[in-house]
Amino acid sequence: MKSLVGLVPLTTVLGAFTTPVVYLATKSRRATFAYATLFSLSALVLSLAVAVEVYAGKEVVVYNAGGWPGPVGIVYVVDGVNALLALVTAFLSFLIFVYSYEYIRDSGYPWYLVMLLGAETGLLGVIYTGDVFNLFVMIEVTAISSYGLVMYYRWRATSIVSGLKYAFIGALGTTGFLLALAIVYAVFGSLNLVDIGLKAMGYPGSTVTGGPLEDAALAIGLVLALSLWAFTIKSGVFPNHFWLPDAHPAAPTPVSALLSGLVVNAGAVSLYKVLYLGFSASQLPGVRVVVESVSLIALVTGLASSFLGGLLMVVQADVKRLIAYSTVMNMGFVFMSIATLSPIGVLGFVYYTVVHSLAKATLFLSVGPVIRAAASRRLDRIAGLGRSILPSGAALAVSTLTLAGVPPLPGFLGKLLIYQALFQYNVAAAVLFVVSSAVGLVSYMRLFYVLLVSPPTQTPAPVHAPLMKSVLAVLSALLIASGLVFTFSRSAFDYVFYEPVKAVGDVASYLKSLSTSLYGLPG
Amino acid sequence: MSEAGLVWSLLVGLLAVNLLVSVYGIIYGRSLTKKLISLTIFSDTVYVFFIMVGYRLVYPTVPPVYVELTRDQLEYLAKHAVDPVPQALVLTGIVIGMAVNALIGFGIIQAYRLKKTVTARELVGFEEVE
Repeated sequence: MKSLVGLVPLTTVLGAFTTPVVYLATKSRRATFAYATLFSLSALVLSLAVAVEVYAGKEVVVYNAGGWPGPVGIVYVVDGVNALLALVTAFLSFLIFVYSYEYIRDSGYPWYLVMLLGAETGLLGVIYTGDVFNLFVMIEVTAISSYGLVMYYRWRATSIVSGLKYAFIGALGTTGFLLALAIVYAVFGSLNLVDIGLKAMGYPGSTVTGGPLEDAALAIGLVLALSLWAFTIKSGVFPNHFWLPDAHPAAPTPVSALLSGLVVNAGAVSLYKVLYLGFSASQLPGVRVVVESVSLIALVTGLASSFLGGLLMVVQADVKRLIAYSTVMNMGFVFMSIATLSPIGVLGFVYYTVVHSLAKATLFLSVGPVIRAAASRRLDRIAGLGRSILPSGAALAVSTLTLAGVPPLPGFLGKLLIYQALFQYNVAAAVLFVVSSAVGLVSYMRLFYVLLVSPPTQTPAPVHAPLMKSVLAVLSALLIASGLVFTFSRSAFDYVFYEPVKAVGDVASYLKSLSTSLYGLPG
Repeated sequence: MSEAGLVWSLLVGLLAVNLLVSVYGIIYGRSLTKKLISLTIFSDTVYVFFIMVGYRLVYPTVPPVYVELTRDQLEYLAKHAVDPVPQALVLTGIVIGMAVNALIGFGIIQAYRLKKTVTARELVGFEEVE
């Protein structure tokens, strides 16, 4: 049963490598798409099975790759939080595959499918892994696929130049993270997150990887600074957000949904793993100071990012650029939530990440048919078209209102959780969060008004796309249902979000409980 | 400070200078090709640093390969071989880096085909349509 965890990323990577073969053998668009989508569906089923196993068993599933136990081998550590995030990732990716069948009409589709499966593999790996070097590899797998997907329209100079900008800055960030890993290996002699966490707390850790540390605060500071730099690049958070509003709109619309909904999560999940799980439990005075200052920097960058994203959203004329800036804003919220390093902050991070992924993907996917009907991305050209393309309009309304935080849609609860977490951390930060949220609200309402209320400037060409429309219907129904369930039913919210977060809430005891399963002896 | 320690600090310092120069090249390089070259210098510097982490100043040295699994052999290896883990990690890093560099190289060629230039400043700012 435990081997299922290892199968999840393996399934999609197997699909990625065999899809071109199916294309060459059949030359059939339908068969190639069906084949790739089947692998995405398998990943969804498998990650659902893993989530059921973790939730029903109420325990952390540890998978040793190749049978080598940690800290020697690569381990996948799946707790409730990881299982939930992976399930959302697999679910959205599957819907994006279905949507792409009607959207991607040119001859590059086999390679498109390969890269889409590659990005899904990387994301699932980032979420499941409990090994920092494997985290680096999986971030790179996601990143390379995303660079390729941004450059998909290779006859358009915009796509190529945006993709190059993304690739240069992304490669700089991940190589910086590799430098951080070199320091980690030099100091801790280990790449296992649990082992590193225990050693940073002053425990002996594994005997295989060397004895306990004297004082590693300086090295930990370097590691955290380099990691934070890399993760802000991956998530498009303030000083490194500038590639995102170029790269996300340049890609085909389903890819924009994948990038803005899921790929940006890779940075946030990595920050949660390295900063929160890895080092936040340490009570050593030197390490404590370093962790607190890095988390303060993460909070400030998150805050700056949310203000910048919110303010620049207002002036955009291109609908996809507007949504891309909204991603900059929302990732700022997520970073702020993680930076509080409190259990409620993690609860806010998990809940808001899930909601943002669903809503942002829905928003991008719902403007797809509108853009196609109007043959333009300019807001003044697509005004009022939301009403005439029905499931699109409904999905647009639901996702915009979710992101704006209107109750009882799920976004409201997410903002409330982040507000609570920030209020405990620092009242000023909480107030600034509300202000930046209000700045964003203006732009969401503008988007809502322009697309759904203002009079149409043109009559759209009819869009015949039953799959795209059903994907949108499923997503908007899911958003409304989850909003109603999680806002009004405390027990459902507790079961899905609160219980898993409570398990990782006390990091010290979480790491100690894992050390038993990793080394066979208590830490 | 011992002689070995001095050489070690000098090497780390030189690598740090190398990193700064390559970051400057990536950010301020005028041509995309030069940016790509700077990126490869940046990643190579990191690889060298990673290899240095696993290096040990011992003599005689042996390659970290298990020939026979006896106690004496293992003890001898533990004393005289370098740490093989960083080498394996760097090998992984090089493979990944090659994929990224190839992709960026393709992008630069494609940008040149479309716009007949690889100068970063001339490539930004044009109309977008869908």
